[in-house]
Amino acid sequence: MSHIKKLLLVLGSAIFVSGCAGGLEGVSVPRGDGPPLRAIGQDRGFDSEDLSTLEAGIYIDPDGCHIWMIDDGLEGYWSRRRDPVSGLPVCTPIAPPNSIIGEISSSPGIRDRVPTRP
Amino acid sequence: MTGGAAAQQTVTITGTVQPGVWVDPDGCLHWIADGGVEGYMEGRVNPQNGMPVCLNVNTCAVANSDVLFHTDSARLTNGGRAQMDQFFRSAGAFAYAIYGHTDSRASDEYNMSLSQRRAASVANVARSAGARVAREIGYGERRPVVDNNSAAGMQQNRRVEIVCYR
Repeated sequence: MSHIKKLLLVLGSAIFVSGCAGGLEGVSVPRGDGPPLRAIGQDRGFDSEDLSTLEAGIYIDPDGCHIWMIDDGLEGYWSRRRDPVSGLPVCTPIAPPNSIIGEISSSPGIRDRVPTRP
Repeated sequence: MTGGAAAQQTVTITGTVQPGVWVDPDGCLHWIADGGVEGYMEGRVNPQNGMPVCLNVNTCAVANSDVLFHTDSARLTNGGRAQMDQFFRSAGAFAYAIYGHTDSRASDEYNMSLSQRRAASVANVARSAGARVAREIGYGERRPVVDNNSAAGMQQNRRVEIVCYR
């Protein structure tokens, strides 16, 4: 492929991504005075919902400890599971490290993309 | 050294966040925010002690120590053993965390030891019922649920808490 073609392709996909994100996700570049609002407790996009309703699966980290994991289309979230009484991490061997248990994807709005295997 | 505000570093606020709250299946709270095409999340903690902030969802069982044990002892009563055995055979979790607590009478050291031995007694019942015990810890009188200034309060604090890891 020629360099010109490659450049056009890169430019094109950049425009597609930014246009897409604007349309699907309800986002814009920060404007106005004062510090910008960087993030909110709602997904305003095409797949909009209140973030409190998301469902999580469990990711087993390399140390064997549990992390709540959510794939919400264009956003991903994870946060450590801690025992509500002792506050200690939960590291029971329900699966080998790096496994995911349960359904992490609760957003049908945008089809998920995963990393290409090297 | 200068005191007060003069000694403080000035900060520049570069943005703001209005997070939502996400409650995990154990009942613990997490801050969550959507940044457009990024996501952010972190567990909510108590600023004083660093503990997670949780609604009362996943304490699978709280058993009163007066029913489970002989007085001042980690020896289970027949009724207590039967109750715990029945619990572990039916709860169906992957693993259990067992926490012993006392009231504030006797010394802190004595209470730490008694609660540890009581947690261990319950853990032994769990294992003999075929359950997996993830941890067994005695907190003595250090984590009361109510004030120890009445007999009823002390009775509530004498307890074994079981968390189910599902």
